[in-house]
Amino acid sequence: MATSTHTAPAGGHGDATRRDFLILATGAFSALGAAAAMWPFIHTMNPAADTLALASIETDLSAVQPGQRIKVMWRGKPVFIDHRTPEQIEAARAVDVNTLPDPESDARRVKKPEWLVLVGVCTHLGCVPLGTGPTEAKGEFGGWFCPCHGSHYDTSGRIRKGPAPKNLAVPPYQFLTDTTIRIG
Amino acid sequence: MATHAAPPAYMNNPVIKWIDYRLPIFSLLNHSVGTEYPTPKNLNYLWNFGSLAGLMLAVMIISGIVLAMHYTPHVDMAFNSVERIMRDVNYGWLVRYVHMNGASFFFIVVYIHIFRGLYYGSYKPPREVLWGLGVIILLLMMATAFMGYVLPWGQMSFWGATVITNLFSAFPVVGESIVTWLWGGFAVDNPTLNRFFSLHYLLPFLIVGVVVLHIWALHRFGSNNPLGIDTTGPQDKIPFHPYYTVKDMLGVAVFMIVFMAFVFWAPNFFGEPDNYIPANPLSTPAHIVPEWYFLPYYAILRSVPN
Repeated sequence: MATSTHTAPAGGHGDATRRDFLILATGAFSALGAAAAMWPFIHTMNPAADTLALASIETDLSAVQPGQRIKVMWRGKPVFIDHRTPEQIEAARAVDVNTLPDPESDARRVKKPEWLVLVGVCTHLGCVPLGTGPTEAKGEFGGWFCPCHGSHYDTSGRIRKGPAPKNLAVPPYQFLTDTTIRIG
Repeated sequence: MATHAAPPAYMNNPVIKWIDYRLPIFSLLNHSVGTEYPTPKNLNYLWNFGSLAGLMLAVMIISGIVLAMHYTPHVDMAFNSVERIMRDVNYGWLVRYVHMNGASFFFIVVYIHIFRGLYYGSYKPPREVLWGLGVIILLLMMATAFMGYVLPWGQMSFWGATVITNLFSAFPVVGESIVTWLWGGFAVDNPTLNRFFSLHYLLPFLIVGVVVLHIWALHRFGSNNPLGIDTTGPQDKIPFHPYYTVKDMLGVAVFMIVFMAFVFWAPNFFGEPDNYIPANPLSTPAHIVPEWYFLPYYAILRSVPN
């Protein structure tokens, strides 16, 4: 350490002095310390342990009839679970994928064709689309309709018409039994 | 010694020059803590405690703002929200222990600062207003600390609040009405907690304001010095920067080692175990004492017979 600071002026830049080295080293060390001290304060604003503990939910689907849709809360957002009828599945699969605004085949959006699981948040600006309740508007494609700016989703939750850029997101989920699902 | 040294090199930077011409903030800094603030050359380490007090004020405000993001000012939830900060919030334990021990260390620093002023006569003319502003800061700090101690809503919080607010009942005639007004009810309860939280958040910013006045008054005549006799001319002074900036930074480093030793290894040393029992209006703890920094005033209080 001492040797290197002694040799620095002689070896390299003529005006580099031991003082310059000390000032730079002190400054760098202080900046590092300040950043390390700031991190805990910033990290407090990330989800706390109790919030993370509630990050996945389990839902019993045995009471959901074909053609019926339910809404469950997951991470503070609604999740739509749709028990699709054969006609709805057929409608979703009959479309030419390449004509869609956000091309994605129905088979890739479901794990079991009769169960469609979607995050119920419009991909435009975050409203909850209508269509889950039996009396709600389902839009021109029999799926969901967002009342905020008129986005129409089909029976696979894909965007078909309106300002939304993406299909309704599919959350990570798995079937624990034939009628029990864990989301998250 | 060069009391009015040439402006520092960064003042030649065209951007800084441009801004400084329109908003002389760099000049202000340089006149306040820079090369153009002449300072007595014989200050000892007791003169470090002013900057340490400023540091603690900043630490308390920053940690307090973070705690307020997670705290719930309600009698049913306050205690649990503090426990959630300790157990679930990322680094919540650290932020709370910094805030908790920070209160004690703020008072340690400020008491040393005050005794320095008493010992070396820093309150004497022409620095009376400087001293008076310091006393106002101390009173605001005491109010802030008292109300902050109530917020976790433990046994000591509740009974401390009860005892201190009941002091006001000693006023003749209007005493009882004042106490009811302070409580917002017939006992220390949710309205009391809510207003204490509000004021606990407000007062530190008032302290910042008075600190600005305190420093302004200080810079009118500059620091006193260990002789207690004011310097007669520039030959007795050196520029604040780099001489006292570097000395203050050394003080900060040593102080932080002691402060952090308590935060990490003895975080409850200054606290009362009873305050980890949720507030119970039906049962007063056997030993009710204030935090250590209020003990002198508590002793005065207890020496008054009724």
